[in-house]
Amino acid sequence: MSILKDVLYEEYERKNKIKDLINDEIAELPQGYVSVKKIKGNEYNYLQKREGKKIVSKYIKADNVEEIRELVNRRKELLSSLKEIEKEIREIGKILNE
Amino acid sequence: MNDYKGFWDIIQMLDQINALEHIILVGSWVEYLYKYSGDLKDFHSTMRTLDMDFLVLNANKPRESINIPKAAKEMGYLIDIDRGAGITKIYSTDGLELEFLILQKGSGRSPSIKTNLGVNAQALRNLDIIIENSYTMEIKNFKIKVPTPEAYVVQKIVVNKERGIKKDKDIEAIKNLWEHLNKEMLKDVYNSLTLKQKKIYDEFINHMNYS
Repeated sequence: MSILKDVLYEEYERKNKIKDLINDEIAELPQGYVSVKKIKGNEYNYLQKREGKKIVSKYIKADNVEEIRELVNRRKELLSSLKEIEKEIREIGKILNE
Repeated sequence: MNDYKGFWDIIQMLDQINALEHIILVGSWVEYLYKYSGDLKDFHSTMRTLDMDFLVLNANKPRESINIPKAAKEMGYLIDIDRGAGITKIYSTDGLELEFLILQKGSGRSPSIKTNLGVNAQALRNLDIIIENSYTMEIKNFKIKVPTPEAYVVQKIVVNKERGIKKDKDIEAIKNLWEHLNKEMLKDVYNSLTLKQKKIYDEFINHMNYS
């Protein structure tokens, strides 16, 4: 195998490993987004997500809002990285199969 | 991805938790620093991979342990512990892989050694060549320990036969660096080798027709 192919193969394996780790972390993170509802002048936070045709809301205690928001953002970032890494895996895979 | 930025982000993370003074950067990113710092004039690094390897100087230092994986996780890196050998690996989401190595001493056979940096480092032989011949680069306000170019090349030569698919890539790196080495310093590193290491080095040099 050429040096270039060796390097590419190594990168292919590494990226697949990263993809698995990203998927593992995504599975642990809350799905959806934080929505704020105003009821009689008071603000209430909910974690909302779509389940089939329904929107499901789960109340978030005020003390936990920032933490949940961070986790939701982390999930979004990871989904974006996952998309990128899957694209790279496909591209490297094509070269290795040529 | 901008892997140079990824590299400096990792250096910054390690600096923030005071880990840099306990590790030596080894592997192909050192070549980038030789060029970047101007320590090797006219040198052009041809090879650079996405793995960043650091050599842990002493498993028991610092006395008050540091937790690199915890700090890395807080900064958005992904942490993995190899199921077989138990080696800690840290990944950035865009592809950089951070791994730690440590000198395998005496008759030790354990594939990994737990360190006070919070990582299980891969235990390898022949890293003494680098530990005994390293210096500190002051670059972008960071103090980064690196092997001397001569030790970097000699260590690559001594372990070349054991490098599997990385063998040819390492030979390219050796060829690329060879003319930039200080031959007096090279001799000093050679003189510090064990008899077994000298034998392997001599065989490689004869095979490559170097002098």
